[in-house]
Amino acid sequence: MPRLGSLTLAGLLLAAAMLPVVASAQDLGTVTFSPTAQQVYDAATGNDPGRIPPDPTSDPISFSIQAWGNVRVVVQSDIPVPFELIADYSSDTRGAVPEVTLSTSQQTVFDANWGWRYRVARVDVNYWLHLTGPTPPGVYTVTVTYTLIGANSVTNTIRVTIPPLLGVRLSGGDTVAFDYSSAPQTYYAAIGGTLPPTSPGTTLTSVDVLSASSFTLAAALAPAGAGKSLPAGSLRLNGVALTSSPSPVVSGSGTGSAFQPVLRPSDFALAVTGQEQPGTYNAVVTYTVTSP
Amino acid sequence: MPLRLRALRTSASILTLLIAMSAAYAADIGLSPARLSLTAPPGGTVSGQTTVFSTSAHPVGLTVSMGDWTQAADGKLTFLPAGAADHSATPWATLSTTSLVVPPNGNSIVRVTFKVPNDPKLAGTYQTVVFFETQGKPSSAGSTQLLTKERLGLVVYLTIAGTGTSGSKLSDMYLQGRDLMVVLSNSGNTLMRATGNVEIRDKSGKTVAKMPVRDVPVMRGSERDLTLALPKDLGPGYYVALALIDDSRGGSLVGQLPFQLGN
Repeated sequence: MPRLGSLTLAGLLLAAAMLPVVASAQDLGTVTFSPTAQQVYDAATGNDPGRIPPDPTSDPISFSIQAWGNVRVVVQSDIPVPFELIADYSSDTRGAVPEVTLSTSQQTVFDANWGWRYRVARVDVNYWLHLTGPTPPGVYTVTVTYTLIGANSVTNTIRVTIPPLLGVRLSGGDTVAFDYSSAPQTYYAAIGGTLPPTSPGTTLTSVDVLSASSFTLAAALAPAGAGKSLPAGSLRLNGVALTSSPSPVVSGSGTGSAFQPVLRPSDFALAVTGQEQPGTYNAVVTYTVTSP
Repeated sequence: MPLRLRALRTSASILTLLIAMSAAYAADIGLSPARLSLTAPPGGTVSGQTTVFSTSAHPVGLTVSMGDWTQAADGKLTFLPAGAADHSATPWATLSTTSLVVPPNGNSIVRVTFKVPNDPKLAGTYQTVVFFETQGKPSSAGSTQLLTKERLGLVVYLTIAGTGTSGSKLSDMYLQGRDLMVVLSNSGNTLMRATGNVEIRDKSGKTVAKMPVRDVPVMRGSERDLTLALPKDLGPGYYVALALIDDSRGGSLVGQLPFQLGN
């Protein structure tokens, strides 16, 4: 009898430790995030948009844990994602880790060694999205699994929709100068050819484009309304003589999810004939970026 | 006298502010989405919107206008005055604004509304572009000074409901130097978007390279020549290029080209 009794007690302890994570269904529901274009753009340009809450239509996520003894609950997501998904937990008991940044590795969220000694705990989960940098557009679907080690598991889904972006940026400044007033010999030697921009005077360091899909950058030259006008075709950009109609000067299959330089001052050149009148010439260059 | 003095001071401060604003340039502008695909029946009305944003610390003044565009077989775009292109949706469009100021590190929403004529002959996809253009500033340096402006184009496709026809084929593949040329034909009256891969297989059938075709637009009733550069490390030998490309409207295009690379 004593032997049988000890066996029964051991069996009971084993059964108690294996009591499950409990929810009304195995799938706890879906949490959706729809960051605004501004938030995605901020992240792409190095500005932290902060923590983004779920859409108000998201399912509330909660579950119960029934266990005692040396038990542990871990959380794990199924795919790596280019942003942070943060979970924080509130429980009617003590002992939960305050918050977790989800990853494909198991992370402990409840552990008996942390003083969590209750048989039943109700857990409410709050999720947050943190865009930490450039994020490719698309819909990301992540399955999050909570497992009571040695027992069962429950899951919920997180869906993040990143909108597409198209952007153009002038880095450094917006001026490209060809100032040869103090170097007439350079101008003379270049007659019949081209001159590069001069520094100082040129503040533009690059023209940058942000487009996850194929894009075209076209450029056009127009009179500035003050000073002498540059003759059409005298300004070359990436080897293309600019006119009043936009001409494609760069085409690309995409720059990923971040701004990438597509033109630099060295891509500009001014064709000189020797017939130019001394003075100041002004022109407007318009960069047009589209992603058809 | 005190009143007049105060009025003069106000004028001076406004002048300073205007100068400071005109000296600011738009470091960046962004759009989302950068492309709209709308559908409406003949006689119907449909709207779309985009968000324009900037991380500039200054307000960014923008001019909003419409234009037309076409795309050549090599993918190059030609911009045309509004209403000048075939299959232009521009004449049907109304903008919610023709100018706006994006607040510092903020955004603005612009809507474009199309009133489609009640014409039963209209069919397929029509297109237009909405331009968002910054205002340049005079430069103070150099004997030749270039003022710069940025302009983003919101491409809009408008399909007349129930009139679309599709049809596409991979009409040619050939080698041009170390570029693999793939020619796609869209015989339908709607926009086709092509996505897929071209695999390069060696003599043993092993795939040694894969070149992606990512979301390439092929306009209605037109051809598109894709230029795919062969990998630089692809050595001399016999190969087969195998193209498997999906038409966004349904169906797949398949083609293959045996070729030889010399020394």
